[in-house]
Amino acid sequence: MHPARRRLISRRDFLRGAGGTALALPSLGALLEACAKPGSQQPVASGTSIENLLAHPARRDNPVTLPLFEQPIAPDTPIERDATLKIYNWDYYIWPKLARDAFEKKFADYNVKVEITWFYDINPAIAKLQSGQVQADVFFPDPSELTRLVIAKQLRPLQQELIPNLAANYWPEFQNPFYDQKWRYSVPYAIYTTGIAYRRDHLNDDEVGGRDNPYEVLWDPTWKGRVSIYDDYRETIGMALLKNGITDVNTGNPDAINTAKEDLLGMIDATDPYKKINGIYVRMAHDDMWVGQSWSGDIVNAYVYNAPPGTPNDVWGYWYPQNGGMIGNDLMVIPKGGQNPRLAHEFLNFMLDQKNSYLNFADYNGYQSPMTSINPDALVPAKLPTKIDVAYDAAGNLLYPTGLSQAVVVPEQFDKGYTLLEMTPAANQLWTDAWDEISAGA
Amino acid sequence: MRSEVAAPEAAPEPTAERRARGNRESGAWYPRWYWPSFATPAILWLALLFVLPFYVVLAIAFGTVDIFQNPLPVYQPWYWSFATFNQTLTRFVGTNPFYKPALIRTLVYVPAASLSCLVLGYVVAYFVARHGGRLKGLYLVLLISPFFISYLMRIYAWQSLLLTDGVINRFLIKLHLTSAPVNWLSGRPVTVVLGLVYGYIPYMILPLYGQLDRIDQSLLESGRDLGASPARTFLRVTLPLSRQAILAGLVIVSLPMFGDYFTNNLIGGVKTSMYGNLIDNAVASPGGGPQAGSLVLILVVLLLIPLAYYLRSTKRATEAGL
Repeated sequence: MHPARRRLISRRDFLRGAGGTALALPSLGALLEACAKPGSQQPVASGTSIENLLAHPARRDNPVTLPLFEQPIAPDTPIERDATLKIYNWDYYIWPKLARDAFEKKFADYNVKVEITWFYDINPAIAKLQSGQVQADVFFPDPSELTRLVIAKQLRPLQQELIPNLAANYWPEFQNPFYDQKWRYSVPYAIYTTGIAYRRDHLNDDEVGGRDNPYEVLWDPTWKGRVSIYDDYRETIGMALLKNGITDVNTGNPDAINTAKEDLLGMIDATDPYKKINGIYVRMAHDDMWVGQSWSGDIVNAYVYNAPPGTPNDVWGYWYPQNGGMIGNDLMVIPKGGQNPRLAHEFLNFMLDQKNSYLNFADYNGYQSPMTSINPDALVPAKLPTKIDVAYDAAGNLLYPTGLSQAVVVPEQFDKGYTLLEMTPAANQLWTDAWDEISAGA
Repeated sequence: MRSEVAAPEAAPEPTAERRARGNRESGAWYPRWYWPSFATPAILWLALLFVLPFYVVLAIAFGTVDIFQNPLPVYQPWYWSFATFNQTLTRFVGTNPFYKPALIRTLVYVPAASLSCLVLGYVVAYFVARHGGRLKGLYLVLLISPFFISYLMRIYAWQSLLLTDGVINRFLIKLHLTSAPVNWLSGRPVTVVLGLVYGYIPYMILPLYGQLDRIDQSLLESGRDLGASPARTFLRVTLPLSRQAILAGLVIVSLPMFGDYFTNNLIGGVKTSMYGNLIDNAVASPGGGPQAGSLVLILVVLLLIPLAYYLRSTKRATEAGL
């Protein structure tokens, strides 16, 4: 090779050339100047009823009727043909065999396909719906997100004539819920309480329910390294509020939040809890965790689905305050981005069907649905064989072991219970700041 | 090898004057932009995959949130708000510095894990390079094979291995090394550090192997001939010659460790939270986007210090012809 060509360019020459190339790129600033400041355009005009909705979110004593921005689809809208119905749900929170296979079979004449996508956190999921990254026909938020989803015009109003199963099968509580009066946008999916699950082969019932304040078991150093709590700022700070006798679990009072925060920091020192969303149904099922904050459906799921074969049925315990504890429900809604609104209505009605709803609960996710046909007494028989893994009766109905009797959700609990609901941004900030401190492990 | 490269460069460096006259004098006919233009693909690559994303991080850190508390980036610097950034800083140095323990833990765990990687990795790389013989290829394939499975998956696997009723505990009990099962996953620093070592050690071994394999055998022989013991030869010849690979390996393993969060998420606990967990927690908490962005910026500034040392050391090594 000619020596001249072999001459290496110096580093300085290279950088000079490179800098020139970079400057030649279209000026980013000029492009960006064209945009207005994000967030400066308020989505809500002041003084409107919508602004009022955000400032005074739905509560049991403040029921809200969500505004309609468009009319529901007509009842005679044809069922979409050759469509792919897109379901967007929490991970493993719906039975694919039912929601996909059985639904496809039912609508085989229309050549319908069902596509289930899981999400692992609700806010990123909402962001994906908003940006259009995910176009879902059916989505599963809870009442604390519903108002904002409606105000942001992300949801279609429901055509109630297409969903007769709600009136036919569900508790009166959900025929006109306080968070969505006249159920304009949502139908209920699953219900749950938040209590304390424990392994009765390590803790007897008295060691939890027998205490003056049963929540304190999570603070008891005896169980250090065996305690789990949810990695969920609303549930966990909410539980600490209830432990301290503060029943407004949507409070914006800094002192109350501070009390809960200090208490939870004390818990981290005392019992070094395992802070995960899957503590109960995975780690307790494997006898790795012995006592922890638990949704009723999670401990049932641990019993039904996740425990290793041979686990006796009498190891499962669940405590829930009889005078009122944390209680909630999830929803099914129809996002606007979905392409198959009629089929989405059919899906909602399908999941509210008595048999389907029961199968989803008893054979898969362990989360009860608020159906009138589920008899709480029949769920927990007086005696259950201890040696078999999962107990179903001759008719195939799920049976809870005695230790899980308090995991059954009954309508009266909603009257006495406390539900995590929408908060004002200022209150939310206090909660997340407290949670940041708890999670930092200081 | 080195002498071949060094010979043509022995000519005096072109002076500034000569450079100013350009390449024409040296017989080349290229225009001035010819060689720099070769940098274009790399510049575009950097601009698209580093500069722009980094600008988005800035826009999020100094931006705002929407009605769902999701981050809303602000791209115009004149609208930027530094309130969240300042608040984040006070969590490290203010009156209630509750982020500080996580930072300190990171500054302990990462060096501990990186040094463990170095010690273990050096032995392995040394063995393969020096004593691998005909099996070298096989050893390398075995070393690279963990890359076929993502780190996340492998840590998930460890999670089930480390359960109290998991394989590790059953093994330890069988060997009578422990009477009761150890609760490895209850937020133990040792589990997290070993998890990091396990996850990142291949990245340490490969550069070390590359360098050790290239060391001229005759240099070692000279050392021995001059009377140095094997240990002394190692300390005076092999180790200095592998210094650049050691530094490169340390940089390659420690930089991602500083941002690692899933190791602690999956096999650690609250009390072993690291810097990466602070970012992860902020991302996960509604309205936490700007704070996560601020944490990223602070980490970038902190990491520039060791990186600057590495670059300086590499530059010196290049100048010294190492």
